[in-house]
Amino acid sequence: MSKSSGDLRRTQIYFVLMIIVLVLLSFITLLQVFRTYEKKGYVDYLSLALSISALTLSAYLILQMRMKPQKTGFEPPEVFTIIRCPKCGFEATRKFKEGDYILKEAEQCPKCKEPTFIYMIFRKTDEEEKKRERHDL
Amino acid sequence: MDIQSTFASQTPFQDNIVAVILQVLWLAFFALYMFYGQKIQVKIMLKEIEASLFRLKMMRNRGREITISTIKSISKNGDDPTERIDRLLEHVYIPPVNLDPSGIIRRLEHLINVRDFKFKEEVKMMIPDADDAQINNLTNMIEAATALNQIYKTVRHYFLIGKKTSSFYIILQLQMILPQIMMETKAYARALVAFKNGQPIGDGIGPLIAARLMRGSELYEIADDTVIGRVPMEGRVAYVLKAKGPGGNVGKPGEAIRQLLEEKEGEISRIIIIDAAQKFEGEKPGEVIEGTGVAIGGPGVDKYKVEEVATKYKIPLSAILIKEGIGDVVSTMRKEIADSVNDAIDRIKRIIRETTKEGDSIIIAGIGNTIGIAQ
Repeated sequence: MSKSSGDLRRTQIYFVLMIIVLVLLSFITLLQVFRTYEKKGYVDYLSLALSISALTLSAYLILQMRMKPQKTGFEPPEVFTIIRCPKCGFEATRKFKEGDYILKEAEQCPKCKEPTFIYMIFRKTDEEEKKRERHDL
Repeated sequence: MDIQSTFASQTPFQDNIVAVILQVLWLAFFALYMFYGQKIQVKIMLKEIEASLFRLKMMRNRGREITISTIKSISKNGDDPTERIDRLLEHVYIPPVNLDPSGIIRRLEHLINVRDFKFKEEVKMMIPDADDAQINNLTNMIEAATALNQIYKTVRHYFLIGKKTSSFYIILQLQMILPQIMMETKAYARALVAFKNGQPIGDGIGPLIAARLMRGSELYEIADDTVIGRVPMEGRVAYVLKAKGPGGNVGKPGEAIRQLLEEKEGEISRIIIIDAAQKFEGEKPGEVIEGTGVAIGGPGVDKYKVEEVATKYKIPLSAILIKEGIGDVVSTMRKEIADSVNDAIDRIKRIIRETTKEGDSIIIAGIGNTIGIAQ
């Protein structure tokens, strides 16, 4: 695990170095294009196109690097447990604890001191999931 | 000097050279596309599949790691389960021959029972002091890890065949189906996490509704891993059944319904089956719908048994279905699905009032994996 994270960091450093070199070269080329234009009065389109392409590529690489890694499904979801008192109807929501299951007897009711039970266990739907499901049709 | 004069200052020779270079480039591109277009496309598709395959491999390895570490953390004997887990991940199930379909359900049931027994026995050997719920949860977890392994191997097989033969059509088919495969793989990964933590999954909505209905009544085990309770409801008697929880388990609802009907000699007015159903894209998760028939998924053994016995005694069948996406069925139950319980119970009561008389007996079966849901 530590080996793979080390590899990842090294790859990122290479990427950053590559982007810096690309941006530097693009600016130097752009500067050259302007100097040529000032001195000789014509535009070196090839150099101009190359430097703009390199700048675009750098921007794309930066965007790719800033993108969140795709979820694989192993990320633990936010899970909640609702406890309910069968006597007074008191209800409370807390984070899921290992060993929780629906209809398990839970802690004492803070209102009537009767034992409560686990009424429901659910995961919070993430915004990304909701956004994907939203539609007007 | 403005731009117009800049363009004007370009010599005719320079203009000519640029035009010639552009024309040559276009011609070269055209020729390249004509002769090598499909090969380039194949290369691009192979690269895309390779990236997904890498992801599948990563998910398979992660699933294996989680399974091994969970068993190690529960086991007290300190034995390394890696070898046994690796053997189970490669375990294959061979379905019965269907050339002669007569008696196939009986054979199918036998093979499924043998497979289930084998997985549970293997878990017991790794953790001899585990309770039933732990054994069931770990068995489910190993099954999810096995599914991840099988998916990875199948995709890799077709990828390598496509690469070896450079067959456009093999690669195209694989690329077309890949988004669906990735979605299913992600669902299995989520299932593995839910089974590890013993959390209720979307498929457990049937047992959850049954558990709500049978709470407080006297229960007994009617078939393997299946419990039943006699519940007074709307002036009728409801026999409510579900798989025995809170361990991950689907029970034997088909056998339970068959036994109960034989016991009552068909004196049942209606069978109501509650299950999760795959939603269409665009439908809301947790939407409750009604239907007619036996709403039991899986290999078909339980469905067959209920259809057989219901036909024998001419008992009407109703289904209550809770719509869920493919990713929700095996992942921890989402709020929208959990919230559908009351709506489903209201519908069950309405069906009972409208289609049966007071004093009648009915069967209500909550179908699905009961992980994280007791009774």
